[in-house]
Amino acid sequence: MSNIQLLGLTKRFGDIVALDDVSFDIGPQEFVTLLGPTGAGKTTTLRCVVGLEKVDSGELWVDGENINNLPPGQRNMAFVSQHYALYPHLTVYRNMQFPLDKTNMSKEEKNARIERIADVLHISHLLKRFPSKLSGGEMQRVVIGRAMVRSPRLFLLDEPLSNLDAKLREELRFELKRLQKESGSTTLYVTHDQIEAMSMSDRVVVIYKGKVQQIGTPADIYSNPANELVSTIVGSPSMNLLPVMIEDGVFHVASNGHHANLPELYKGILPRGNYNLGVRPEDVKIVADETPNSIKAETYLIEAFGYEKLVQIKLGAHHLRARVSPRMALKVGDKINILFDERKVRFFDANGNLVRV
Amino acid sequence: MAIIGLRDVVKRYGQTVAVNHVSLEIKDGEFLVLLGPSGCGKTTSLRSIAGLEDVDEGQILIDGVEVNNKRPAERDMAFCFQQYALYPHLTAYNNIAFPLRTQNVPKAEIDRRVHEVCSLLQIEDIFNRKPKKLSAGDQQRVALARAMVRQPKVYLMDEPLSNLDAQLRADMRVELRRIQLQNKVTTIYVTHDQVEAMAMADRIAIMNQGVLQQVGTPEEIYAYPATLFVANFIGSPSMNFLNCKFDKGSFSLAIKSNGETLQFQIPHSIIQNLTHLQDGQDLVLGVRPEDVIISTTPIENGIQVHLVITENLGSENIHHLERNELHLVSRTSPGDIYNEDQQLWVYLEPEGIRLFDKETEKAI
Repeated sequence: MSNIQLLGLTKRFGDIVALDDVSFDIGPQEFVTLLGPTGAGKTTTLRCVVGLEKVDSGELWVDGENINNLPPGQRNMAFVSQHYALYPHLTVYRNMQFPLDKTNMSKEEKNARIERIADVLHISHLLKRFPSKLSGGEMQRVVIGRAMVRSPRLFLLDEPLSNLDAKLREELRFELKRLQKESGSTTLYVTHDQIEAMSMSDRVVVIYKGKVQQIGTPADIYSNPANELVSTIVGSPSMNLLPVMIEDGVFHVASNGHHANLPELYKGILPRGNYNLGVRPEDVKIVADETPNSIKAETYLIEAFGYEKLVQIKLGAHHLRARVSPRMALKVGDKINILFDERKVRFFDANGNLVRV
Repeated sequence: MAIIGLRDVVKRYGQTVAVNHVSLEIKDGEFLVLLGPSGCGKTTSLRSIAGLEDVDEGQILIDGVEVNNKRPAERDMAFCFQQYALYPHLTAYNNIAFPLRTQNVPKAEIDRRVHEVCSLLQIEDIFNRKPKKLSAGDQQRVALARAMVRQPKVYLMDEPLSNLDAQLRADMRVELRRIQLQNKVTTIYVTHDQVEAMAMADRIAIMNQGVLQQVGTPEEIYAYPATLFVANFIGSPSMNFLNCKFDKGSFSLAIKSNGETLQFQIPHSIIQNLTHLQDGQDLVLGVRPEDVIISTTPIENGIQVHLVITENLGSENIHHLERNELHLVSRTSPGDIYNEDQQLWVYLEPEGIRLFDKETEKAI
């Protein structure tokens, strides 16, 4: 239950700046996720925190103590990586006991701890087995269990679910989150999977090319992405970005020349010019009748998912996606009218940054 | 343009039955997806259709004619596999043109066709580059273009999008499907990704352990899964499953959890289909997350639960609910928020309730 602070971390590998002035904090019992594509600097950040990499500049603080010069072994952090290695010649129980060997904990206490954590992770029935007799999901749970028995100050997880199949990932995502909630361990989680980040985190730190792009709750990052990059990283399918020209309270769609009124919120605020209009697929409405604010378009493809339909919509050369009810009857090539939810429309300026109002 | 048939096809590797008596007909112009987990026999089935594997039993038919003994080249099918093996010494253009050159198509015609397919896939600007100078996405596009430049009777595709990142995969599946809708070439597409299958297919054939489980439109498979395997494999989050016993006297289901027994009244709309069931028969009740409706007040035939975790996915909320060892997942709009101390009840939408025989794992 610790408070971790990263202050202006910078890390270079030769000419490459892997981390560029990275700052964020993790509160006691908080679950923070570092989200970004491959090469964004997520794992480097984690390795700096745990002490496997030395930072070039910046400070690391844990509960008011500067740990920059503390060796990894003394940082009391548990690290679970994507490539999990269990000792093949030891049973699950012995694997989990291993990190406790060097402590002066009593035998009873060790045993109680292992059993409690095994119970939470649903691996009690596996304690006597050897790793070679475990499935991928079971192995992953054991690795997590082994990291947890020590009750570390900080729990660091690097893509722990990425080697598992989709169903198991879904299941473990829930179990891991529940475990964290129940044990109250302060957690820094790394993933490139936005669904994991959205579903598990108290807060998400979006990182790209070594720079922090945005820090916020999943809901905030989803509805107010700080820039176009974040808007495409979070959400699946991602936010639609539609080039528009704004003048006199109206936006003109660049790809087909149609126009509609700006949402009230933005009237008189946005200077004339070119923007990208950002709108989530669920906020694109397909309406039966033309209205003063609707835009004419054509359906390009319909994908039916059972509980929803995704409609690919053609606006001249530009495409948008809309998420609609599975009951909406549509076919390819239909002429339709679309409307954007006024409250949910966002605008990004020429630099790709969100216009905040 | 072709109708492809598999008639009672069996393929063994030593003791393992990779494809176990599979019969299937793919209609002319249809986009059929072979879906299943790794090792289910989908790729072996595809390779058997292609002629890259000899089948041990049964027939492969093209337009009603058995082709078991025809070599791959004689079957007039174009492949695109996951390992897209482009010729490293040829430019993108020459890679794509290659299948036409081998058929002695006139040069002008080759040029026209290559440009046509490349404009569809939006890769005209990379014509002169060799494969190693291309991004993974562009390599994949070139491989697709090479398969599509011919107008074969059939396209066979094995996970052609699996090396791409999520966004590109979503965009490419749209393009691929659009091209197929235009040229109407019969297509058999293999994937393990149920989202891709749902999005692209006219019909899905879902396999497990060499056995064909169900063939149907995405809507049919989602709404009326034929087996527990299909019900679990399709949809994310998965369908909820509750073990229960059938009580014939009251037409209700007894759901046991930690010693307590919940009596769940079977909706009238499905009672008529259940008259053949035995009293006390073990069943599994399946219900999709969107059909688990949360109420903050007691509700008739409802189950009292508490909230464990809500996952906010932006476009929807996924609520994990529990009562003792019963675990239910509910999908709601993102505005629906509950807290963990709140008393909650869930109600299962009658139209969404599916029953399976626990022993045979088949839908009732």
